Amino acid sequence: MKKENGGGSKNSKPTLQFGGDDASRLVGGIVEKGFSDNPQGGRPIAPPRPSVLPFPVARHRSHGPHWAPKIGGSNVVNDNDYAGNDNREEEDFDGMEVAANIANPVQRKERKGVDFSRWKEIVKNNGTKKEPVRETKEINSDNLSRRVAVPDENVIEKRQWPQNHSPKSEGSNVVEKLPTWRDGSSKDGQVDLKMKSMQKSKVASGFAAQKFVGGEEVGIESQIDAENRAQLSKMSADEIAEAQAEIMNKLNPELINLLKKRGQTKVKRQKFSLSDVTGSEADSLQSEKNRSKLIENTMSDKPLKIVTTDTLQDKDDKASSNISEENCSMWDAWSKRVESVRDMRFSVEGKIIRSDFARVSDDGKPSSESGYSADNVSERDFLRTEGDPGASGYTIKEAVALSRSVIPGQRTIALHLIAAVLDKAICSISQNQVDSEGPVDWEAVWAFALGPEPELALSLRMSLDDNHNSVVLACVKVIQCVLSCTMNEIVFDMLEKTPTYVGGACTAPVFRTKPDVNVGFIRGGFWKYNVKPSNILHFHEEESEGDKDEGEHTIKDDVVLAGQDFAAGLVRMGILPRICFLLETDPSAPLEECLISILIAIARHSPTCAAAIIDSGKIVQTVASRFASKEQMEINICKIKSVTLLKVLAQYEKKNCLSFINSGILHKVTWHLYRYPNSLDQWVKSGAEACKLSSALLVEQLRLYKVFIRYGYCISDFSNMFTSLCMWLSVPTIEKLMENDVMNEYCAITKEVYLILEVLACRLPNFYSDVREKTKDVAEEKETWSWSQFGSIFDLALEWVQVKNIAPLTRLFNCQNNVGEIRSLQDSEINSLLWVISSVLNMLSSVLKAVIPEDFTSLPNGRLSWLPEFVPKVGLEIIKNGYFRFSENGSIVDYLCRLRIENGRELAISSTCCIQGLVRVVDSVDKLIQHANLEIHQKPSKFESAPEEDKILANGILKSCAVEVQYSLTNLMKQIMNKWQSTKPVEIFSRGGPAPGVGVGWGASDGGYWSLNTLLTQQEARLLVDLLEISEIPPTAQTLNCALTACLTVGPGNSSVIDKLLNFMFRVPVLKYLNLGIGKFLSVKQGFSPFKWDYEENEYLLFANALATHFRNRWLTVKKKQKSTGEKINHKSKKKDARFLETIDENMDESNQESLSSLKLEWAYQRLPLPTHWFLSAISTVNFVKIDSTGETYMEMPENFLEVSKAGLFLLLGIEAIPASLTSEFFSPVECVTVVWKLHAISVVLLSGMGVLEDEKSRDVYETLQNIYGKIIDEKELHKSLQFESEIHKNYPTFIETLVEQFAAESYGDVLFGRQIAMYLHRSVEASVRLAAWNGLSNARALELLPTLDKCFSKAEGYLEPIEDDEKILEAYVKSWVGGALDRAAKRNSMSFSLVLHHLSWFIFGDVVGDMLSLRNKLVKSLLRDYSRKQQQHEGMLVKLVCYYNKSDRDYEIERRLQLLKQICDGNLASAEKLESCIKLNHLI
Amino acid sequence: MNAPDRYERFVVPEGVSKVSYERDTKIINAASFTVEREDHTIGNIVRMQLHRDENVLFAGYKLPHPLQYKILLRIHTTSQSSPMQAYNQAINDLDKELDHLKNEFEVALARHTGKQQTQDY
Repeated sequence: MKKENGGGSKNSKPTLQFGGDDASRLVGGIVEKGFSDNPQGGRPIAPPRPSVLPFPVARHRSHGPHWAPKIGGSNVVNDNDYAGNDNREEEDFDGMEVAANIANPVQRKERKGVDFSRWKEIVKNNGTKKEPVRETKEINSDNLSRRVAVPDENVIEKRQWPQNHSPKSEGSNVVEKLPTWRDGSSKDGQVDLKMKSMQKSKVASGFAAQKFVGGEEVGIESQIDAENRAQLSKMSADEIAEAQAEIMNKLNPELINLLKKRGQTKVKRQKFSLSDVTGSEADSLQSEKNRSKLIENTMSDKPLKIVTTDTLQDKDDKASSNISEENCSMWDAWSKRVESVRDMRFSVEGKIIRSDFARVSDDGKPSSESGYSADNVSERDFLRTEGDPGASGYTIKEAVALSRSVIPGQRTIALHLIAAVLDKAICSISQNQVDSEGPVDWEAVWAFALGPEPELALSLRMSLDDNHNSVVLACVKVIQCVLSCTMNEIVFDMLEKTPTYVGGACTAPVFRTKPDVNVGFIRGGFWKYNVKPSNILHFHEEESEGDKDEGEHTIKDDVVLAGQDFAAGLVRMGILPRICFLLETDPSAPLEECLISILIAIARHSPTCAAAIIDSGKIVQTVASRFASKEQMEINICKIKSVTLLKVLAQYEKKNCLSFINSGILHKVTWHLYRYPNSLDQWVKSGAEACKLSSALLVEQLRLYKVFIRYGYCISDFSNMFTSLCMWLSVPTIEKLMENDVMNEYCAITKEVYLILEVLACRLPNFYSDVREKTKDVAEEKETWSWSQFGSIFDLALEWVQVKNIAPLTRLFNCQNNVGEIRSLQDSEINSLLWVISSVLNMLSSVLKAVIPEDFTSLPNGRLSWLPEFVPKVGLEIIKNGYFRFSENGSIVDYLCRLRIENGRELAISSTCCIQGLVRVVDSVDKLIQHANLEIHQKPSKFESAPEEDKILANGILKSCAVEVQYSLTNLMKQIMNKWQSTKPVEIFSRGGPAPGVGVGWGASDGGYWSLNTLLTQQEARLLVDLLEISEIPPTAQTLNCALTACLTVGPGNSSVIDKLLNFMFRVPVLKYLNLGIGKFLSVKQGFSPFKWDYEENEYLLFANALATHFRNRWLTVKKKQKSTGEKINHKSKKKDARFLETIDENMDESNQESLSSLKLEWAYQRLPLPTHWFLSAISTVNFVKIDSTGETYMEMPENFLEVSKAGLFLLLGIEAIPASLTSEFFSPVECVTVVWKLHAISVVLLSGMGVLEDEKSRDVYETLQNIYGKIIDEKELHKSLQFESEIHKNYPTFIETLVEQFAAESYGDVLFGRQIAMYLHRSVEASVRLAAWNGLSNARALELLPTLDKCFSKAEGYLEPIEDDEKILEAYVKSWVGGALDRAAKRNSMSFSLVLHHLSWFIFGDVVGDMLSLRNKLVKSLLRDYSRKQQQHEGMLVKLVCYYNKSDRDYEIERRLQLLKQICDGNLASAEKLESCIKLNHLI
Repeated sequence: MNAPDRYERFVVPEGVSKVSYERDTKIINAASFTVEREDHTIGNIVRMQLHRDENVLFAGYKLPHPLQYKILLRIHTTSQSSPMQAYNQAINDLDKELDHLKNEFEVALARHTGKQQTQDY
């Protein structure tokens, strides 16, 4: 027994000793890294045991010379362990095993057994006189040793369990956990196998469950704790007190104090350490989160705190200002966030270990602060090869380094750790988690992991070549996470469900071209891929050419590329051949599954990558043959994914489809479709699991087929298939499906079949033309789908429309109240039913569209000669089944609207699709009926007795339910207006933004663009367009605002939505309405007066056309892809001598694409989504730079340039005025654009000429706009409000110079122009911009052209207050003064002279301090010198300066000022005196 | 490659007058002059001269494009004068001033060379 310096556990029995003494030894002295701080009374310190380790093995720190192993009587257990381990060194764990065992004593220091904060459990645990302390301690030590000495677990167990098994508390838990454990280790000691067993569960959960490195002790401990508490609660207060007293008596007071202190620090630490929570229960996690959030709020000195406040601020800013505050500050904040990840440490489960906090959390007691508790000590130094040896867990960089260890097990663990971290990150990012503000900044983690630095891509690529299956599998898992396969699949699956989706969206990271002055710095340039497509395939081309250029391309290039775009980097590094090889070697099912998912993700990445897959060897054939070769009937996930892969590839290129057909791959993978189906009963009987798989496979196959049909292939095949598909078309007995729980599966298939039919319907020839030309040879139109085949489909589809006949649906739609008759539908089931109905309705609408003739006017009498029977039938069914509220009952539309608001996102999407389908169908039916040659139209009286439904049908369904349509429209608009801001942060950053990875929003918050949120808003925008089109309501402020908002929410591939919205907005009635709004605004608002003129009808028309064309050209044009052939040659020749990666060419050559050679939907080469300030483009486009075919650039001034600017001004004023009439319920998108942008825009319009100001009307509009913005400036607090340079463009000073030049050259000193320029001298404008403006004016001798101060559009105080303190500007003032640029300004009383007077006089005669003194003297000297030279000209000015603004005590003040001048004058005394005499003489003293 | 020929910079094309005058319809006493084949050398000096004129309210010039070899000069005067008048006067004054400068320079030069010659001998 040792003597303790801290006053130790004298009380205890020998068994307690090592626990107690350890604990006490920690106190009062610095104990680090195993140094024992007292010499132990001559106890010899054994030398470290030598161990033979192959060279670059991960060395344990305990091998170092500093470590003092504790081999003594107290450490029998470990000694034995060690002996037991000796012969195991050959195993995977060899190195660390040894190390770990040796390290035990150090760990034990952290034992928390003697923790007074746990007195409760202590009390409970014994209730008897047994040492409470010891017990817990032992449990812990047991855990520790067991955990560390992994393979020996059983041995330990045998030895130790009997001893401390007594408390049931831990028993249940540990036992429960051990089996899994033993499974792994006892069957095979090999890590590889453990890994395999892990594959079954998801990576993250796998880790949580198995943890073969450790961490479960926390679980045990908390269990003990829980049990203790439970016990405690059973005890009465007396009992507790008794037990407490008992303990108190036993321990000496010193120890108690110590324990108390430790307890406190521990509580603190626990709060920080996330790793405390191993319970995977969501609620416990949640509470932990909340707790740490609280802490975060209270503790201000933590590094991470800074980070999180940053994020918080960002979020807040987003709401108030807008995203345009990108650039510097945002970027800095972001990089700070990312940088902070460098130090984050992760446990193997991917959780963050915050040891750093713990370390700082207590001052003066470093011994207990080394960052470990018994909870996480095991993670401290398990495999560490580098980095901080004392730290727990791994930073990402360390993990990457470890993945190159020579020991396969270590590589595996490292890869698993990375996978876990990434998995966690992507999950929390996409789940729109509170977490982003909370303890862990997962976005930053994601970005850092994928970012350029850690070279993760390279390590992964190397690991993929590993010999060990476990490593390969782990690596593949990491890649899967990096490419965010699972998340992407979720999103794409949802996309596929929507009827409007065409396919092939690319997920490759992109960035926008920089805005330039020609477009007025307006953001929203063309997107470009982060990596130039030709660079991705570099490697392969090279290889096929025979490697002669080897050495020219270094691995550095690959890494750089991977830094820009992870997936591209992998492809460049030749991941595809390797995957192909792996697939050929008959991989295990999990590996194959992962490989195929990776292929899918790569295929989705970009067209180039998809082409790479097609081109590179035999991947597709391998996948297909694996599909065919396996058990024919068996369906597994690999097969499903294989079909998905083919689908994705087919979407990109038409020619891929052809090759799939020709090589027979298509038939190989879709034969299930032709198989004559079993009956539904059989299908159901096959079991839920089988149904699930077969349904998933069928759905994928149908989707694959749909792609082919879209391209126009295989249409004739479809009739063969159709017979087998018919089974899925009809309405099943839903109850039965529900009983067997296969509802979702059935509906998925049904929905898919209808979707495919919808695509077919789109290919229908027009109904009437078909009828007329029936006589013609039908054979030649083989590839179109003929009407005759649609008859039966129609009937089946109508079955679905008749919801009244589908009992569960009726119940659902009609009576939400009486729940509980039968099992009510679950959300997911409602959802799948809704999807079915939406696809049915959409199919119907497509069919009906084919009936509507293109041109009604060409018909005789404008009427259709006859109407096919099914048209009124559909209409009647819709009326009868209560889709709309024709009677009192609630309608289906109502229900759907409610669903949209109340329920989850997926339900919202599906119900939106449903409404959309319904609206389309109804619209088509109405149109047809109206144009039909019906008797009821001519003689309505005759049909008075006809049934109600018929009348409604005849009058038009929409007309009859206008209220309802209106209702759903308002409803929808509310939704859009409320939500748009949350979808905005999609593109906060430019290149290298949040994450150069692949997929889900590229790491943006809320999943960015690839999230259900965004899908929903896009779907809503589509519905809005439809509703606006059909309802033909007069424009209101709300609809306008909403249309403006909706424009912002749609992204690539939806340009038709924007197109329609533009059509809606730029019509004469809308513009008239805007004008009305302006008039109202002007008459109501103070300080404005209505215009004395009015626009004429043709002017509106002109405006409407100009605006619509402008916006369409500006935003919706697609940059054509570069010529592939020409480019390639060019590029190759370049390649020979260029050693570096090519830069991305901004102006790529264009050639036209064939239509529909591809269904892909790229971000690149187009501009959507729109930037918030897109509507400013009409006025702030200077001129287009067009590139013609020869590559020359020339400036093109569009003919109607002036028109566009005028219209743009009008539009701006209009939408500026309208929100004033709105209730402030909504945040209008116009208000969200900062005034800086608007001011900038109205400046840009002047850059290209005075035309706007010469026109009387637009001049007035311009003036009004200036006044409006002037008011806004006045309202804003000074400083920081007008950040032109940081907010708009960093070259803003240059822009100002050009503008000033324009002003000086052309303006004739126009007042409005002058005001606009003067605005840049406003005190709240950034100094650099102000300086540039002033210098420009001074150089161009235009200072005198500025108006007087009171004519400026914002208040004078804004220009004068606070006093100028920028040296450069003050110097510039004096320079202009001396240089004579101000002479005429002084005469004309221009605001420039007023500014100079004010600022200079306050600066010179005010209180100058410190280093400004020399500046003042300098300025005064130059003024006086100048005065002495040109007395006549500048005398008056100087007198004014001296006498400027001193109402109080004039004479005295002037006297003071003159004295001051004399003091400073320095040799120019004469002139100072002259000035004095002049002043005296003139008037003043 | 497709840059204009060098001579384009100073040879006034046939049929084009060196200076053209266009009255501004919107503002009284305002006009713009287009001076062909000139650049900042003339533009700036004329503008500065115009600025000295009390009656000139606005005088500015610009070079519309580096490859378009002409300057546009805009003048706005008070009713006491007219753009044409101001322009002419400015040109005349400049002429005189430059003449004066030239004379002074030549005198000084002569004096200087004279001195040098006497020194040389």
